[in-house]
Amino acid sequence: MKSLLFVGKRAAVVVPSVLGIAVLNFTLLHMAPGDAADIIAAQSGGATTEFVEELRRSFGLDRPLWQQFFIYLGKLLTFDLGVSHVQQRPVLSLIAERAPATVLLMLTAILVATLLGMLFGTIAAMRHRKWLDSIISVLALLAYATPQFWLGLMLIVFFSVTLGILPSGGMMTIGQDISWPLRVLDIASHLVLPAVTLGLFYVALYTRLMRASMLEVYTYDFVTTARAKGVSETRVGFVHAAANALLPVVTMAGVQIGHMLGGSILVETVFGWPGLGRLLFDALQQRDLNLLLGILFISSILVVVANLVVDLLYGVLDPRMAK
Amino acid sequence: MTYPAARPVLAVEDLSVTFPTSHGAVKAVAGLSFTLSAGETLAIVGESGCGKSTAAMSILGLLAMRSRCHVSGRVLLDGRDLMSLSQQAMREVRGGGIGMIFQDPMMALNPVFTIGWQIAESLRLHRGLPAGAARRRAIELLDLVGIPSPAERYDQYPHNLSGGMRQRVMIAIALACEPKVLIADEPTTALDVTIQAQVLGLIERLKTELGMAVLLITHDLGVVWEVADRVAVMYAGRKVEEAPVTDLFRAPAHPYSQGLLRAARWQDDVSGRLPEIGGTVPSPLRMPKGCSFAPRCHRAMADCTLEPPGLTGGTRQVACHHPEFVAA
Ligand SMILES: Nc1ncnc2c1ncn2[C@@H]1O[C@H](COP(=O)(O)OP(=O)(O)OP(=O)(O)O)[C@@H](O)[C@H]1O
Ligand SMILES: [Mg+2]
Repeated sequence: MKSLLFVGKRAAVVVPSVLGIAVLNFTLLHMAPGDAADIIAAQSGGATTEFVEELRRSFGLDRPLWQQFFIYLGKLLTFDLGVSHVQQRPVLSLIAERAPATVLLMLTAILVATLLGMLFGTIAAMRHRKWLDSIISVLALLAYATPQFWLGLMLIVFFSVTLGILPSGGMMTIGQDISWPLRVLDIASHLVLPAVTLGLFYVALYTRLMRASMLEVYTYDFVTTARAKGVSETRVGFVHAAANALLPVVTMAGVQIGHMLGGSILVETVFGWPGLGRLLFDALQQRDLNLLLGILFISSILVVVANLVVDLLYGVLDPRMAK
Repeated sequence: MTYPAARPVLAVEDLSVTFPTSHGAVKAVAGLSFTLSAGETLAIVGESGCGKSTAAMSILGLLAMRSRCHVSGRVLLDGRDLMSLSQQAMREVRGGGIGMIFQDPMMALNPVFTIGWQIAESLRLHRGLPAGAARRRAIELLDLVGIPSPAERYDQYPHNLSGGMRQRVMIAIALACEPKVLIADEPTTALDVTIQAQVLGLIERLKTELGMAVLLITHDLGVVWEVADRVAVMYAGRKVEEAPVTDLFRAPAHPYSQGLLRAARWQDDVSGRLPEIGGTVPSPLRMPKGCSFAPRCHRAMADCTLEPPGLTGGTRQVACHHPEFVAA
C-alpha cells in the first residue's frame, strides 16, 4: 500500500515534465522561421499566396496561438507526431523503427558503466592510498579525459581492422538467415564497441563518484559498528559501506540518461548504429523539423520514464525514501 | 559496591596512542593501565577530548582502521594479548569476546539494512548460525533488550525507531554473542533523561544476568554514581585517579577530580556560581613538562612543573605530587 502510494506520487511527477517538454517543443516550432505551410509551398515550388493561406487554414495555423497549442497537445496525447515531409512518412513509425536500437545501446552502456563504476570505486576506496587505488584513479582519469570520437575510432582500428575480431559498424550481419541464439550473439558482437565507446566515460565518472562516496561513508559510525562486531574489511567495504555509497551513483546515472542520449548521436554516427541518434543527425542536416521535434519529444519521454524507473529503484535501495 | 578480587577478564597495561598530525605528534592516551573483573563496572570519566574514546577504540584495535596512529602497550583479554593477534583472530574477539556500543545511536546503525539483519549478522559470523536460527535468536535478543513486539520490529529499519530504541538495538548487537566484556562509550549522552535511566538500567540488568564486565565511558558523574563500582578519572590522556566509586565521591584526592565533583554538585543544587576549573586543557601538541594539570591547579607548587607525577597506591590510585584525601 505504502509503496503503491510512492509509485503513484513519483508517476504523478511525470505529467508536468511531459507538459513542459510539449511547451518547449511548441515554442521551438514557432520560433523557427516559416511554418509548415511555407515549407510545403516552398517544396512544391512557387505557390500562390492563396494556396499558402488555404494550407494555413487547413493546418489550423490561422487560429490564435493558445488554440494551436491545445490542438498540438491533443495530437501529442494521441502520439500523432505528424509527417516527415522529407522522408514522406509518419514521424512516429520512423522513430518506432529506430528507438529499440538506441534503447539497447544506452541500456547496455549505462548498466555496465554503473556496475563497473561501483565495483572499481569500491575497490579503490577499500585500498585507499595503496597502489591499486592509484592505478584505478589514474586509469579513471585517462578514460574521463578521452574524447569519445577518438576512442571509437581507435577501438575500430584496433579490434576490427588490426585484430579483426569485432565488427566495426552496423547492428547485425545483413543478409544472413540464422537461428535466434546466433542472432543474439551477432547483435552482441556488434554492440561491444559502440557500448564501450559510449560507456567508458561513465565508467570513469562513476568510479570516481563511487570512490568519493565510499570514502565518505567510511567515516560514518555504522562502519565502526560493523568492524566492532567482527565483520571482515572485505565485507565492510562490499556490503556495509557500498550499500550506502551507491545511492549517489544511482541518482547520477538517472540524471545522466539524457546526457548519454546526446553522446549516442555521435557514437551511432561513428559506428553506423541504426538508432535515434542517427535519425536525429539526418533530421538536423535535412532541416526535417517535424521529425526533429518528434525525436525530441519521444526521447524526452524516454528520459522521463528512465528517471521514474531510477526513482523507484532508489526507493528499493534506500529504505528511508520509501515513505 | 564491593568488587571481586578475581583474576581480571580485561587488563590494559601502559596503553599509549599517538596521532601523527601535520602540526606534530598528538599523544591522545599516555600510559593508561587498568583492570576489569567479571561482573564489575569500571567507569572512565573526564572532559571532552581527554582520550576516552581513543582508548576504547584502541582496545578493540579499531583505531588504526580509521586513522593513522601509533598504539603501544598491552591489552589482555583472559590473559591473551590482543595486540599480538592476527587480523582473523582479532575479528573473533570483536563482537565475540568484547562487545562495544557507541554514543550516537542515530549514526551507529546502518540505515539501509533492517535492524534484525544487523543483529543476525553477528550471530552468523561468530556462531555460524544458519539464517533461520540467527533470525530466531535475534528476535530473542530484541526481546531481551526490551523492544516490544520484537518479531515485527525485526524487519524494520533504523529510521523507524526512536533514539532509545536504537540504542537498545545497539546493545542487542553488542551482546549477541555474549561477550565477556562490554565497552559502552557514552551510551546515554545522546538520549533524553528518562530514556538514559532505562538504557543504564538495561545495561546493569544484562551485566548481572550475563556476568559481564562493563567498561563505561562517560563524562556524567551522576551516571557513574548510579552504575559504576570503580571509577578512573582521565585528564589530558592520563589516568589521574582511580578509586571505588564511594571513596572517590566521599574524598577525591586529585585536584582535578575535586573540581569535577564540585562542578557536578553545582548542577544538582543550582544555588551559586558554576565552580569552573579555571583555565583550559593544555594543547596535546604542547604538553607541560611536569604535571599536565599544573597550569590549572590551585595547589600547584614549584615541583609540579618539573616532572609528571606517577601513580601511587593500590585500590586507591592517584597521580599527584600533593594529593589530599579530604572531603570535597
Ligand atoms: N584521528 C585523529 N587525529 C588526530 N588527533 C585525534 C584523532 N582522533 C582523536 N584525536 C585527538 O585525541 C584526543 C582525544 O580524543 P577522544 O575522542 O578520545 O576524546 P574523548 O575523551 O572521547 O572526548 P569526548 O568526550 O568528546 O568523546 C583529542 O585531543 C583529539 O583531538
Ligand atoms: Mg568520545
